[in-house]
Amino acid sequence: MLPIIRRDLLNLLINPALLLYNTLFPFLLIVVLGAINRDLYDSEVITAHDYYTVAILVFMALNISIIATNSFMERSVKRPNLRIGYAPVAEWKLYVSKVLATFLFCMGSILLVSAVVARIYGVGFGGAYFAFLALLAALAMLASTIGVAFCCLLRDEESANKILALVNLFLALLGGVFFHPRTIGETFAAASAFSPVRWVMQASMRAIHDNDYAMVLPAVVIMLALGGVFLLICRRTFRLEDYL
Amino acid sequence: MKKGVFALKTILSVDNLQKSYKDVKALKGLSFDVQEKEVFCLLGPNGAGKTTTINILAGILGADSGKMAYRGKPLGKNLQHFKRNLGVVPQELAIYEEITAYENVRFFGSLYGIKGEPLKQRIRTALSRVGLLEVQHRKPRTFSGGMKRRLNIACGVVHEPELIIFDEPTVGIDPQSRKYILDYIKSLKDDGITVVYTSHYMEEVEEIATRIVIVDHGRLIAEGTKESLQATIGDTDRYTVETEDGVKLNEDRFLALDGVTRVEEGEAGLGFLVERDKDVLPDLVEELSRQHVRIRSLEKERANLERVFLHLTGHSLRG
Repeated sequence: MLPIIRRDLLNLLINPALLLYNTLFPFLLIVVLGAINRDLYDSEVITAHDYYTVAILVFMALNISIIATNSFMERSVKRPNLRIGYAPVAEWKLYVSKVLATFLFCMGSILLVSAVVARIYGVGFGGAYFAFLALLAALAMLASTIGVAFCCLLRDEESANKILALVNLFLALLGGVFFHPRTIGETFAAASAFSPVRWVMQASMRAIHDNDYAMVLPAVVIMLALGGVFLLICRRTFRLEDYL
Repeated sequence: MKKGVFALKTILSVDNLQKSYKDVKALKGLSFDVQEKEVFCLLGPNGAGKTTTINILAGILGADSGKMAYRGKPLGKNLQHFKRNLGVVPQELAIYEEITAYENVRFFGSLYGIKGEPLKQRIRTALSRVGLLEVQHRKPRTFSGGMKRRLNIACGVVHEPELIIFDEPTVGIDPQSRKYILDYIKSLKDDGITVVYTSHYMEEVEEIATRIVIVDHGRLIAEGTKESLQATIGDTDRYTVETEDGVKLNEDRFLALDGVTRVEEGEAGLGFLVERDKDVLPDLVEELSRQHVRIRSLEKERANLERVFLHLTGHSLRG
């Protein structure tokens, strides 16, 4: 499976649009949102850039589902992926390789953006960088499996992307990435408890700012388990003929 | 299952293959055997079920029913073994546009477990045989349509399989690339590689086929060598006469001419089957004139697969 993962990863890396979408776009979001909301945060405890670095990196990990659909069923890779199916390669390797390649692509982008932001704005993640990375990794893995599973279910990358863009935005709002869910209403705030984005945001903030790691492991385990469920969905619904 | 025409081993057997897409029956019990070292052609118009058959053989599409065997063993449990020995050149390009031709062939070769120097050697051979060795470091997006088609072939054969399936590899390409591809297939035949080739171009099939299966509407219509299939319409030439509409003929007077064996009236005009190489043209034109038929055009055709197809199905291959 390694040659396929390597090929899928390289395909993502040589796509300038995807590369910019995963590096420059989140970086600019952090810069702009951090600047706009500078006055809302107490710079002694937490700066706007501290908050939005965490929030946007979480959003980035969530949004990787859209990159996964790209890697799995985008028009330019659909036929070459079909050719992989002509080879003596087990079918499950086709979708698992896309999940893993997208995951690696996402984690590489996250490492790059967080390193740049740490350098420019001194964002230090309160010494909980590895716990934060673990949360992002679990979320990215979940999002990758969701992206591929949506393709398997809908048998079409474009439809999957349209739905996922809305789902991701909803989850991000529910998770308080851009502002606290209570701003929209109490019901919305209560519903946010079911958003994996909320779990990651809360677990990250507690680990980074309170040195409280209690939520990290449960959040990681739940997200990986959900990722497993979506992989099972892929296994049940994936058909090579969808590449035709 | 029937024995093949040649005294060679059967490499692939297809028995009573059926496949439906919702209400449309694409394959209605298709059966055939492919013998070792032959160029086996599936000839039929678009929508005949050729690509469906290929996709089922390649393990991409599931059949509703039917049996397939590779070297006598059912395909189901031996699918991976079969795939290892199978090369597929699909109708649509299945290559990465953004990496070089060399990288394309290397990647698809690596999927068959070939590594290191043997892989490099096979990449060189594959690219060289399709005439792309000199442009191996260029990206396919800079290639012409024909060059991309040839790269599509190199990617499908780099692992040097014993059976290669070509699904309409010459659709929409320039005559030069078409000739290159047909010459390449002939060279495979010379090397003893088994080829399954689908096409709706009867000229190509006539040029390369060892054995031909004619399919239409998911059914096998006829099977045999070019010569045996042509014999089904007799040793005849055909004169096709385009006329004005509403012509009423006295067929008996044409049949009374020396050499005319059959008269056909259709939308395309009049057809006269005549004994091969019999010079009936002056008599034919005179009789047409006598019956007040105004000739718009007149064409003479030798016995060919197009006519065999027309004879067997009542419609044209390109229809």
